[in-house]
Amino acid sequence: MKIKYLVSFAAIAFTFGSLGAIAQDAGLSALDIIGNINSRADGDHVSRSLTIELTDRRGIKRTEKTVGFRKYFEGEKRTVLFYTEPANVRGTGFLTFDYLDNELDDDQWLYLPALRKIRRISSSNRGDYFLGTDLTYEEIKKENKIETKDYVFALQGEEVIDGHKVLVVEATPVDRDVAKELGYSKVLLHVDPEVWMSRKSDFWDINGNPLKTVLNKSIEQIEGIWTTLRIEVENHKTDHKTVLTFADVDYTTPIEDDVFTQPRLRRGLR
Amino acid sequence: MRVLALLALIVSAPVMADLDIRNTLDSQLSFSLHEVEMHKGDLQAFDNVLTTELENSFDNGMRLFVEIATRYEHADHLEPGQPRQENASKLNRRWLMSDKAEMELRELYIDGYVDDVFFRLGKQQTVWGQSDGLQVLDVVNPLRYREFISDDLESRRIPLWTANVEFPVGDWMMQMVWMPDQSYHIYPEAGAEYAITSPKLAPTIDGTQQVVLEQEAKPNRYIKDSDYGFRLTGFVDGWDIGVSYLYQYNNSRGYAQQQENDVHTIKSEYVRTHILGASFAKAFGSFSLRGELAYISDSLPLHSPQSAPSTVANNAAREVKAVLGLDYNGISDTLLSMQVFSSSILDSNQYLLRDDTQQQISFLVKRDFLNQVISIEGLVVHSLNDRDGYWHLYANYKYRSDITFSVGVDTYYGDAWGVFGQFEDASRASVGVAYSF
Repeated sequence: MKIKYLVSFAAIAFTFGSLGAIAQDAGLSALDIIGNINSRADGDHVSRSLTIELTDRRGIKRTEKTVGFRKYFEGEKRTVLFYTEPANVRGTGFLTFDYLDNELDDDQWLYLPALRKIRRISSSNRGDYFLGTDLTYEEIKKENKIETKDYVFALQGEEVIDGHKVLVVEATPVDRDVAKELGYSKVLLHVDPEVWMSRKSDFWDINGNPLKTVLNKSIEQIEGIWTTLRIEVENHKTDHKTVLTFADVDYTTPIEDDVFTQPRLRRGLR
Repeated sequence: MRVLALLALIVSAPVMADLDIRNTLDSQLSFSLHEVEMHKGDLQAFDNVLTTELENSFDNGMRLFVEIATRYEHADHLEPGQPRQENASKLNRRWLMSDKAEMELRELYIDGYVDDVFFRLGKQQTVWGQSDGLQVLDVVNPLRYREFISDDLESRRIPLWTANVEFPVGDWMMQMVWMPDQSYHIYPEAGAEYAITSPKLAPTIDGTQQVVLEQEAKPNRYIKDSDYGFRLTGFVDGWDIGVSYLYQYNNSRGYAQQQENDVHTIKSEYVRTHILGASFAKAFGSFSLRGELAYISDSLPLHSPQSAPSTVANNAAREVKAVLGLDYNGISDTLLSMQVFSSSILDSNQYLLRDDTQQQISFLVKRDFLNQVISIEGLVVHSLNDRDGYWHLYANYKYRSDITFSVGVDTYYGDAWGVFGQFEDASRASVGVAYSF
């Protein structure tokens, strides 16, 4: 029995020892790791369908279906999401222009079918939860990437998650205003250097209490691009859960520029 | 050439390539908050609407969309009996199955693209402008005032048979609409819960006088009496900009009153108007600013009988309407919104039965709870001139993806001659459930 423990201990020590070498040998700082996440290829454009499952603390589930498009333009990334089910959200559309110039506020529009009007949304609400999910507008927009100017980063060590070696990076908002805007006092990222994506992210609220955990599951290479096909989010304060499932991911079929315009937002998937 | 391409597209559309059918059953119970003809707490309405949507996408990219609303309203106080529907065109009338049951074709259109030109042909809604509720540019479609403004705008708006074409002009989008559908605002008839009684909106008659009504027929020539217009929209330096032009019949009849000795003559007819409009919206930090401005060449404010005009058109006056809205998103899951609305008659005279300038303000607070499972909103619309208004409290609870419960209160206040105050007795509380399948 003692020998078994010793073997296990040796195996763990070996694993962590070799993991430590990943960042150290490569000479990577925490900021380099975040840089690698942000420079991870995600295609010039992508189309996909997305199913959103929302489960409240009573276990009652709501399922929403959407179709989304994203494309890089000169100077900005544009994203549009159209809700197709159920009836009470069908036709809702969300369009965002995420400018590469950090000095510029993003532009966002929400089409509300009940009003048949497009409402301009201020981008300062990026810490608000996106249409009932446990992900914020910021997280939906960044798609597993991180705004470098919002945080200071520190490499905390290395771990193994679901059999994958990961680098643990702590991200702390640069000041209290940013923390309030984002809704977090700390984020712990578990970054898989094989795919440059955080497999598990833990978030703490601005009072330092555990807030939520985001798991990136089913990470696959599609057309040469690492893509997460399932995101699970659990909010520890509300016991609310969100599961995002992506399908029909297509990085190759061209997307017309006018898909990312207000007229198309109003027309829906036309 | 593009017209030929469009015709070829329609003809080549295969039948029922991908049919999708959706239904929503919406039931609402409304109880009167005031003791009038009905006793306080009596049923104002028990409204049940089955909305059926059929959508068929064809292989060539075209789509057919149909929406049919089948209604059973048990109390029959909102439109007692079977309304005459004289303000609706023959192609835009409801099928009244009984005093309490009706069926309406809400929308029926095909749409698609020919190159970069989008077209939507058929019965549809055209919505312009940036404001919520206070209408300046959102006047393309007439409204049904069955519940005045207590029901949502989507239900009130009357879809019109419309040819809608949209195409890019440089970085801008041009939308052109043509509506050969002579349907106008529909007001409840006398005796209905929300029948118009304010002397500011409809002529009032002294019971001792002889009354002569001279009512011109509603326009009914599909081509000559059609409405048309365009809207150009763009995104410039972070601003959403729109300019529009609409040539339409005023959605309400105009009235001319004349009083000689004991004879009160009331003339009424529909009069055309030009409407030039502009709109804008932009976000600044936590705020979004939006606005609309309209110039109306031939507005038809009500004049007193002493004005003695020879025709209704003689009462036409130029009017400028504007609305400015400010939304605040700085609080999580919360929208705070304020709007200021102003209407000014430029050709004022002593016989006008309204103030030269009328102003209204509105405040909206909307907050979501529990990941948008519960939404609560409060809205107040207040007339600064008449000091009457309307407030609305509403909450909905998304129990499941397919079931939503709601509860609300709609209250009007002010003097009976005011636009809102006239409906003080129609204030109500309501509960509802919507089920989609």
